[in-house]
Amino acid sequence: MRRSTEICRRIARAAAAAGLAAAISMALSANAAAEPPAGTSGLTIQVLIYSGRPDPLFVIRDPAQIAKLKQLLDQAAPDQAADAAKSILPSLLGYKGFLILNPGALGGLPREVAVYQQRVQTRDGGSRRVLSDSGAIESFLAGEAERSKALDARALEILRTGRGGNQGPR
Amino acid sequence: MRASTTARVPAMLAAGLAALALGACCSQPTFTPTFWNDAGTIQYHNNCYNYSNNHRTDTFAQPGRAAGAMYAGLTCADVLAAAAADGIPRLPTTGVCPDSRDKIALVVAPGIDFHWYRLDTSGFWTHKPGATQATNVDNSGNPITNPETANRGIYTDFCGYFCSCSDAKEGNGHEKIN
Repeated sequence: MRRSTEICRRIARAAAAAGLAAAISMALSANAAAEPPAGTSGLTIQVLIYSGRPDPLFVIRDPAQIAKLKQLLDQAAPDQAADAAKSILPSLLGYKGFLILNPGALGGLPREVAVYQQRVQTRDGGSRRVLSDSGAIESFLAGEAERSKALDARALEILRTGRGGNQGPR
Repeated sequence: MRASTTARVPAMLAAGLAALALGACCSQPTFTPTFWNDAGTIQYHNNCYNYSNNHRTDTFAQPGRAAGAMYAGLTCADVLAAAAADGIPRLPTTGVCPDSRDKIALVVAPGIDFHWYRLDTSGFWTHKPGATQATNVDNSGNPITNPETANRGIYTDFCGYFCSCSDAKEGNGHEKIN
């Protein structure tokens, strides 16, 4: 195995040009990552329920609903003990929260908000904060997800079961 | 001694040709979650397929997409065929990945989703559930010694093991996924 690895390394060095071409190709594909569907005209909400396939997305454009979300966020209290550099989203198979993408900074909301149970994490440029609430933001988003029709019956079941706390430790 | 060396030549040649095809050498990763767990671009745009292959693309990589042969259904048969189209081989019957490739495992929630695990140098399995953090524990909070028996929630179908050309440097795996 050691000998074959040594040969592998020698040949790989000779193939550096091919590797460079592959790296350029990969960099181009990374730059081609899709923009959120709402762009800057609404809030794109990602329902975190899958691991491999893309999560369901829905959009909130109604100014009244955006204002409601801002009100709920303003009512949340800073969690001084939390490490803002660490994600609040649980590493579970199943329901694991919501992600709000707001590239247009609509409604005075942060550009990115992660929500799971009673915890909220905001990111705006280099600034990150962790907040606590009563679970009202998660409930609001779950209601909007149901109304959006973006989730099929199985996805809704995963969301409901997960929010019911039947997935094991958090 | 000479006969033994001669017998190894085809294997060494195969390893060399594989390296030539990939433009790199394979090695097993360590568990270095800080690379993936940035609560930002890397974490949110790289999934279990990226993590298990140790290859950051920021595209939430899908089996078969790079090869133009994405899975048609969320079954073991369809997803493993898509991974094969990406050039990721099944684990040989010897149970050992050739050419210093890393063992990875596929599970499926039938009709719903797929999920991948990878084996690290520690001897434990680790994974990255979607847009969340890479972790070394299962849904019960236990270290993963065997993905076949780990608490996988709704991912009830164990599909099998594969061999990925990973890298000791995090995010720099060599499989062509997207």
